[in-house]
Amino acid sequence: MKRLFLLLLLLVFCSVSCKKLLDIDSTHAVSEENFWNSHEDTRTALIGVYGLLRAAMADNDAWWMYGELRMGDFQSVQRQDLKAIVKGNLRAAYPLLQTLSNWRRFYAVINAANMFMEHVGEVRERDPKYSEQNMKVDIAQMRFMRAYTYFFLVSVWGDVPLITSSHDGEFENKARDDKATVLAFVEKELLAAAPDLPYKYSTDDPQQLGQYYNETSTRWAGVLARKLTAYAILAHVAAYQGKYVDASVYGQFVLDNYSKGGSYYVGTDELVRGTGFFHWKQDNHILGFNFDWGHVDATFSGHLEELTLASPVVNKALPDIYIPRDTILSVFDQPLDERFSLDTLTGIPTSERYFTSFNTQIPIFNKVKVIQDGNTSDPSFRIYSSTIIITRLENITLLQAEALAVIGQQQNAIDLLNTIRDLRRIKRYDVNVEGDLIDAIFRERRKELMGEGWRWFDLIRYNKIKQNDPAFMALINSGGIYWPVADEVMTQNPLITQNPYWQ
Amino acid sequence: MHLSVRIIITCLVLYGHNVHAQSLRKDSLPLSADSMRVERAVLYPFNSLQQLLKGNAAGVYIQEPSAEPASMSSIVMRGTAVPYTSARNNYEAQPTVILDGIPLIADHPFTFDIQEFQYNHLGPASNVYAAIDPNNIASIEVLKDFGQAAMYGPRAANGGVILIHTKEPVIGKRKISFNTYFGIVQRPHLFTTNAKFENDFRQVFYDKYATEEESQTYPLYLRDSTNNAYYGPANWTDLYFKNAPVYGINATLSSGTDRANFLFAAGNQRSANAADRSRADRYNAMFKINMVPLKGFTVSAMLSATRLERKRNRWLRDRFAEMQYLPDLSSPLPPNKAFYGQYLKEWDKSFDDNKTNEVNGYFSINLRISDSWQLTSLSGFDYNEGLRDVFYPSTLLETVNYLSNYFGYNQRVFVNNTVQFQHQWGKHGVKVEAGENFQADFNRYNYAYAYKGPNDLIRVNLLYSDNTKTNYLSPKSFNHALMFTFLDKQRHRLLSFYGRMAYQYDNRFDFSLMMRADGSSSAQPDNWWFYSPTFTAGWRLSTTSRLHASWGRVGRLMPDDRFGEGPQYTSDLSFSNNPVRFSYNGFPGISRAYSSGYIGYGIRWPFTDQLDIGWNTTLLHDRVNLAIDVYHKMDHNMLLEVPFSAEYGYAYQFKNGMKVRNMGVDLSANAIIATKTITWQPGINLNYNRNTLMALPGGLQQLVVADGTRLLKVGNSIDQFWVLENNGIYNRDSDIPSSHASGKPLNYKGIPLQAGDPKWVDQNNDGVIDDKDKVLKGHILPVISGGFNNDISWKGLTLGVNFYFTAFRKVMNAEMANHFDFVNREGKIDMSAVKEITFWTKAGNYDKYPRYNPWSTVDPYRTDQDLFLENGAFLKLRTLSLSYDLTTARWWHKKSPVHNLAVYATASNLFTLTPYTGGDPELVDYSGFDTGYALPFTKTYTIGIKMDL
Repeated sequence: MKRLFLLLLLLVFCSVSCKKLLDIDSTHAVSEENFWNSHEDTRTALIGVYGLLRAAMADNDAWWMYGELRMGDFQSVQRQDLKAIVKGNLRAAYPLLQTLSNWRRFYAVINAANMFMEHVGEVRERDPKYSEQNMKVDIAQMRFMRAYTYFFLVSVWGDVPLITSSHDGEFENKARDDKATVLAFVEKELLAAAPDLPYKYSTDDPQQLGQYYNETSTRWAGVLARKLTAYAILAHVAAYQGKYVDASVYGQFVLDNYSKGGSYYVGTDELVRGTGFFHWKQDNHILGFNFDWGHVDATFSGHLEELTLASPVVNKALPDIYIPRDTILSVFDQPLDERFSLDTLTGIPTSERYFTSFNTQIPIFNKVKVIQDGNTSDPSFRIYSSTIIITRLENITLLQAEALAVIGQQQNAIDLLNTIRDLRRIKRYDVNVEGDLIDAIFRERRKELMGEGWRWFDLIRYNKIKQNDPAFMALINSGGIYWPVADEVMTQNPLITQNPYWQ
Repeated sequence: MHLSVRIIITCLVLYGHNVHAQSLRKDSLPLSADSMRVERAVLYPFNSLQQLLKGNAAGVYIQEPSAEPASMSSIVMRGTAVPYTSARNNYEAQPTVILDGIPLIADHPFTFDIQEFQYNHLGPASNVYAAIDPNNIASIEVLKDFGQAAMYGPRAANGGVILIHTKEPVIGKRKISFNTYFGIVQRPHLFTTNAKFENDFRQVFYDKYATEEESQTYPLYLRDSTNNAYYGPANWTDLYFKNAPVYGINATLSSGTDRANFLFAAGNQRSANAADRSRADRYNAMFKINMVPLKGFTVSAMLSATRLERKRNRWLRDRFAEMQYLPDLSSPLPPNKAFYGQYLKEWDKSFDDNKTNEVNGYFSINLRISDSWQLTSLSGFDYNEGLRDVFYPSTLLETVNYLSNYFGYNQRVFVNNTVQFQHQWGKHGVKVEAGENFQADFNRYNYAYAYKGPNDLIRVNLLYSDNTKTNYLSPKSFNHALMFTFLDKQRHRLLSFYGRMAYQYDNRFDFSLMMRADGSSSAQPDNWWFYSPTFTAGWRLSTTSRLHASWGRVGRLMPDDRFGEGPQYTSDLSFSNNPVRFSYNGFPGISRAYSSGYIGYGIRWPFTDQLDIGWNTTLLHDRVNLAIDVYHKMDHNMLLEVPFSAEYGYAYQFKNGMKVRNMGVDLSANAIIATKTITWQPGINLNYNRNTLMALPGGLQQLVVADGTRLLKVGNSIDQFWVLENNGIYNRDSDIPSSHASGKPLNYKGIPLQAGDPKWVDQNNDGVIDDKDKVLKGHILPVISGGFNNDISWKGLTLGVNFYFTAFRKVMNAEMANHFDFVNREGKIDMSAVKEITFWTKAGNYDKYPRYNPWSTVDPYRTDQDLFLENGAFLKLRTLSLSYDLTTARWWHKKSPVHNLAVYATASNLFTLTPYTGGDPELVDYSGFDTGYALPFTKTYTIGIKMDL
């Protein structure tokens, strides 16, 4: 009996210490109570939101899949799934298309931004080092990220559910909201965020004094959302809706203030150099998502180079996509264009900055080629560190020209168009030679932004302005310009219905 | 406080002990259903516990995905409740192996978090159970019914536990045993092909369907018929397959008295496969002592150490998966020996060292206080570490060399204390036992890899080691931007208390009751503890016949420590082709676990209930020993990742609520049929198992899992293929039917079907072929599996003939599908475009498949159709042995100190009978796919000698 008693004592002792034995924290997941405590947590969460959007854009090269391929200049060499996208056959039975039809990754950005805004107040209370201004600028960035993500969602899928809080733990299914509602929200949010955003970080901008998260301005160059970013996206949002008066106001803000943000017009050589415009991170990236080589962030995929480059630029027999010679010749019809032009007498290209191996069956589009660290011509290792550029100054300039042309300010529009044409060393616009100004602006966009993920969205805007292509108008009116929604999205949320065009 | 009170009550009221009421067994007969003796098995060149068990225990099904020595293979006991939808599942579904009371720890699947391609676990990926030397095993006991297995609590959740009893020291004499064999694995013969064959095969499709544009992209390697590399003789097998030696040696020394004794054993084994010069070497030593310093006080200890070295296969796939990088794939490996040899020569400049070290041991104290009371304390540890060092020279991959180092270990320490009381009052016997058990697991790995070293002479990634300099830990010669390092840890603790009480009346009736409480650190804090009961009852009908029944419940452990955290934050910045992004702009970024799944509060313990009714008996004057067990096993509350709310960013939510039933019968029968000179001992063991999904979380009726390739549907099995039914081909556009409802021609998810497309059955007649038209067919795991083993003795000669069989099982012939799907497997840099050297073989009959238009966007040669689904039943003559016991010879000196001397010869993997048309139907992956990525079972012949003195 005495021994039993001893044993019981032992067990009681143990059960008191049970809590200690069983209470261990996971080393690869942070619980709710261990997060949102300090300014390090807000930085990590803030970076997380940017990283999630980068992941969404880079996943299966989504940025180009949605924006560049469909009815664009590029053709697939062999890949059947890419052929299907080029042809607009978006329900084809390929895993790539099914993945691209799923909007989950974009909603992860939105959820993470919502979480941030819901919890940032806790950090402000708990960490005295986290200043009011720091919080304000962080919140403005999160509002921007959420708004931009919604804009992209609408561009790709049309009507999408508008969710503005995390609903953490009480997730309820939501139906799709009208795209006009979503875009109104986007515009409102961007306008609210813009005043709180600085032109640059860690440069004592009135909106952001001192070192941002104790890092220098070099570290933050072009990385985060800034004032120009907000206005540039506002211009895109307004133009997308055909609200060109608004677009011109927002665009003008960018064109008036770009030098404050460190932006400048990029020369053609710099544009296409490995260490040029697409290289790493720069203030001149009005909105871009970088893969920082120096911080072991370079990747094999998520770059245009993965699709377009091949031998002799990198070790790969054939590229995935290419622009056929006929298309190149019809697009680059101006002599001495620094991007690409052909000497019509000799048939030899006079400048080959956008293309190489032009005289083969499959020319290589090598405008973007940040191979390894960018400073190499070594073709052996297909790892890239180019930045996904969402928009840049030349894009906004041409967008502004488009807006002004539509609202009737022809001369201002021509001036802006000529700014870009001067930059690329081609003749100025002549209405008698080239005809319609709108056509000329879109032709210029096609050349300037080739391979930057805008072609498809440009086609939509162009046709909405021109309304002269019945087939395309039918596509617009029936919702065929949008992607189908993935089956698994509809299975898990019965309130989501398929785009009628894809039913 | 609440907790401790409950435990005390548990202790006071419920602690007890089982009465070991096992049926009497005739020594001359092999042990029954759940037990196997190993003395015959040590003759064969088996290199893992799985191979020992295969076909030898009812209800234990071994799935070897490859015959590569010491590679991973899995054990399924009495069906499975885990749906095997990912490589991780395979690890989560494994039963626990207990070596002399030490629950062995296996690799944790958490390295898959950083692996883009999940074909293998990171590191050496060796089978940790290949470290056990069969020569040291006295017997293996498979506990499946919870009457016995529930003693092991949550460790028994996957169908029970496997107990390995190593040999005990001898008492009162000295014993030395030797066993050694030598043998050879024989290279098989294959039907090899070259580019001409492939060209002819594809030309049919090109002639019939190709457009001009499609013809232009005809692969280069098939174009030039003067190219000897591809069009020359297909004799690559001369280099790929080689006869290879195998051997094994073991020596055991044991001596002692009843107060102190010891056993020491050491061994070495080489296993090999004739394919791709793969092999494994095992070196092991074991030391075991028992001491009785005082009467009633016993101290025992065991220490065992093993080293396992593997030479792994040379699949391109596995190399690219390790590198997470693929080169241009437009020129596959050539089938000609001269050219393939050049490639192998470059391979020889690489290294791929795979080592696994395993140490385990226990220390136990048994104190017998009186006839009634005894205390036992058993503590022990199991530690295994895997090391892999890889270097691939630049000549192997487009001038990019590659280096990686892996070091990972799994460590478990445990303490097990029990107190037992037993007493007999007349006809009433009572046993009471109380115990506590604490087990702490730690898994950890460090992994680093680097690309593009300066040259092929520098094969080690040296770091600056002066921690006072700024370049501390930066690489000396590799580019730090191309160097990736990882570290991860996984911790788990399990604390258990149990009490068991057993009562026996008149040696005829017995029953017992056990209550246990298990606390797991991976459960959520408000749900740490799981309480479960077990009941058993037995009725001895006669001295040789016993009926028994048990019902028990055990908890199932969460597979990862992050389940204990509830809603959580983690790094989720990765994307396709880049599984290891943790930072943006050089800063770590974390967010909710969007991709890996939402874990809410209120995750509860999954658990298993099992009812088992069995009958053990001997019949026909003890000549037949029969054991039948009928079981009904229900897994409740299983965690499943349920796709949910993409609109909140999550891919899945982990939810409790999956319920899976496994019902079946284990049967084993052994007999002795003897004449004066010949004895025939046949033994059969067989399992019949039916698996049914009873419920899904949240009341779902069905759920698509595994990236859309599998369907879990309530009322069906969880291991079924989900396929479209194929009914031939549409030869003309006019053959394509139109829907009655819409008048539109039949289409596949909106793509109109055309001539040359498959005729898929529109199950719901809605005019659209889509996932709703897929049906559940066949089973990945066999409904029936077992072994049929025979020993025939004549004088001193014994012939052993062992068969292994499965039935009612299907295999997806993915290798065949891939061959036909050549259009989608060219011109890509993608794993699906990788062609191994084995691409140049022909297995199966190509003519039985319709000639579809391979360019069609409906993907006509997809694997989710029953065109490639085949019957995977088989019967194998697995092993054959002939041994001769020299001590029975007339000329043998009866007084010789050698009291056991046998010579033997064995042959393994002799033949397979199967309706399957592809390769070996046994060699499939966890999803039932025969992908062709398996080294074949090669015929092995050995001769050996076994001696005791």
